[in-house]
Amino acid sequence: MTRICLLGDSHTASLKLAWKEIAPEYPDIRMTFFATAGRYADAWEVDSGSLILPDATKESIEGANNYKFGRDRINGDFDRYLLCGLKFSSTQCAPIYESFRIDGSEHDDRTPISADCFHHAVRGTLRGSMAIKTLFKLREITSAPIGIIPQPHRCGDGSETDVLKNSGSMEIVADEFSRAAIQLASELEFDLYPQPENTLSAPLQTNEIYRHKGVHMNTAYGQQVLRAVLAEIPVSPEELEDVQPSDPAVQQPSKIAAALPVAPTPSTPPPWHQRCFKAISALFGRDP
Amino acid sequence: MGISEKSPYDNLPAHAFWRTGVTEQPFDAIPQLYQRKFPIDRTMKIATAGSCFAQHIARHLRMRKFSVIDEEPAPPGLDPEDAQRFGYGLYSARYGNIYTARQLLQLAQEAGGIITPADAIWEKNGRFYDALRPSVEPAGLPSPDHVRDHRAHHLKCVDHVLRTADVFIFTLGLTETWEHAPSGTVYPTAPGTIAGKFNPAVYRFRNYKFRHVYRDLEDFFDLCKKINPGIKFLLTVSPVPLVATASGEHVLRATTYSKSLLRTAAGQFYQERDDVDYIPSYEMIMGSPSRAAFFEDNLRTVRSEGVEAVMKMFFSEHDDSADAEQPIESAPPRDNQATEDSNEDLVCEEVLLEAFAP
Repeated sequence: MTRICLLGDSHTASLKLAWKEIAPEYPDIRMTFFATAGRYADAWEVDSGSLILPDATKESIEGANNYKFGRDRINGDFDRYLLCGLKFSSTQCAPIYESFRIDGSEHDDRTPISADCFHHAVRGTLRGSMAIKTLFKLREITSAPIGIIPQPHRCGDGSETDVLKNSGSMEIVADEFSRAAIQLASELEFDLYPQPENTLSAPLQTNEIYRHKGVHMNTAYGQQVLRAVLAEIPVSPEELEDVQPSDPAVQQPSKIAAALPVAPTPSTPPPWHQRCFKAISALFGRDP
Repeated sequence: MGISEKSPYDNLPAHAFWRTGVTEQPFDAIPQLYQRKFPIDRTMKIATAGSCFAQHIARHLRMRKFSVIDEEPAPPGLDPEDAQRFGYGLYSARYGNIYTARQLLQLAQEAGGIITPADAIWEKNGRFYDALRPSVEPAGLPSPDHVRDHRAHHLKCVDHVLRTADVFIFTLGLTETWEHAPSGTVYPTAPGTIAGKFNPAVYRFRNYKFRHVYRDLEDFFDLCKKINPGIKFLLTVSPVPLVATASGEHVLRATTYSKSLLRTAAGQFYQERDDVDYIPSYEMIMGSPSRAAFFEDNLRTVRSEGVEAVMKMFFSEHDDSADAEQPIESAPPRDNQATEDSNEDLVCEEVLLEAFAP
């Protein structure tokens, strides 16, 4: 059994909903989701070998949204960690290409910039993302592999996309985004899971069929991403029998899960496939 | 004036005498070493240019929240180290170091469409460099057309700097330069150093004399005044010695020649023109009172204490605010970005609730 912690912002939603549907296909994987809205995502703090949300942040989340918290502590004992969204995104690079014209684009009023400089600006933007900040925090509590699932590209209705289309620089920018992300992954030693090709309608554009609301994608998108990610992750079915029940301190979700959802907690240690179903059941309130 | 038994030195102030003006004063805060000719405040748009010492001036002005023009800001996301490597944020436009008065004049003339420098693009390993600022693109550009494109934008920015600045601060660095012999185009670095190839039949060494520096500065002042009559100038001389000389002389003699000449030119303009002030950074750092304490062990690199002493001297005349040492404030988010984020936050909460609902 491979225990995966998936931590992210609102883009985690599509993955969580997807996991509900595809989990049975991955009996050797148990996935626990943690998410907050983006504005709270950098509040995680390292505390005695775990990541926790400070009380003030929890109070402010609860106060503003009437949330109830599930598990609010991320321990360092997962086999693998995945970070989702957290501003690791081509969209975050929009202020660069909206004002600067990379070499090779059609001439317009934007300031010319070398590909080399553009690359460093994109790399700097990604390096400053909450995903990388969270990566560093996780490194303080675990030596397990960490992967990053970038925020999905937009569906092509933003002004920044118009700039790319009109200037003919979408492919150039996409290449630079990809190059910078790969370089950063190599430098900081994390696994990068680029957006699956089959979810794209253009180099930096998610196919409209995957849109849920605004910049957020739907369950079908989440499935595509999770399948692509899990295809890359080695699982350890032979360790299955050694798996212990979840942390008894974990609460079951009572009403609304929340900014921080709870992890599944079977009452007894059943066979692995039942545990998996129970986990999904616990998360979503019904058997899949 | 009648005949007097008093010496003309009798009634001079303390700072006119070495003992009271220097020996008995702290070497890093010599009173009245600098007395401003005209005020500079935070409402004035300040342009900076010059040799590498000038970078410190721009940085400290920004730290004190003076309004330093940045006509070519770095792209967002570029970290400060990379930004500096690409020539962003060092001066008011991305011209890199300007070491000589001739180089400054040449840039202003080119920006004003008066001249077109010859041999302005150099090649190295299949990449192309702006020979007039070769360091701002460390890896060069893919074609000469790209260099021209980038330079055209840069020149527009320089022109705007010259038209809008209230004060132009220029740090004179060198008298030595390399010149394209057929055209007289001058470069900040010798051909073959960063890019290009050195051909002694095409390029020649120049070591300017006083009359050259004086005329070039005067022409620059006149050109600026034509397009921006209210502009004022602040001159400094970089105390940083030459790293090397091609003059054939010992580097210490060459340094002394260069700096003395530049100091003389700056002093002469200070005396002749109401719109030119002079900051004695050279005296502060290089003068005997400091006993070279402002230099690192290589006796060339100016220590941060030296820069701070110079800037303290400058600000003592131009900034008496109590909060002068406040750090730079980060730029506020663009309005549309803030709105976008706030709207997105609302949607984020919603999709999370949907996904994590029991």
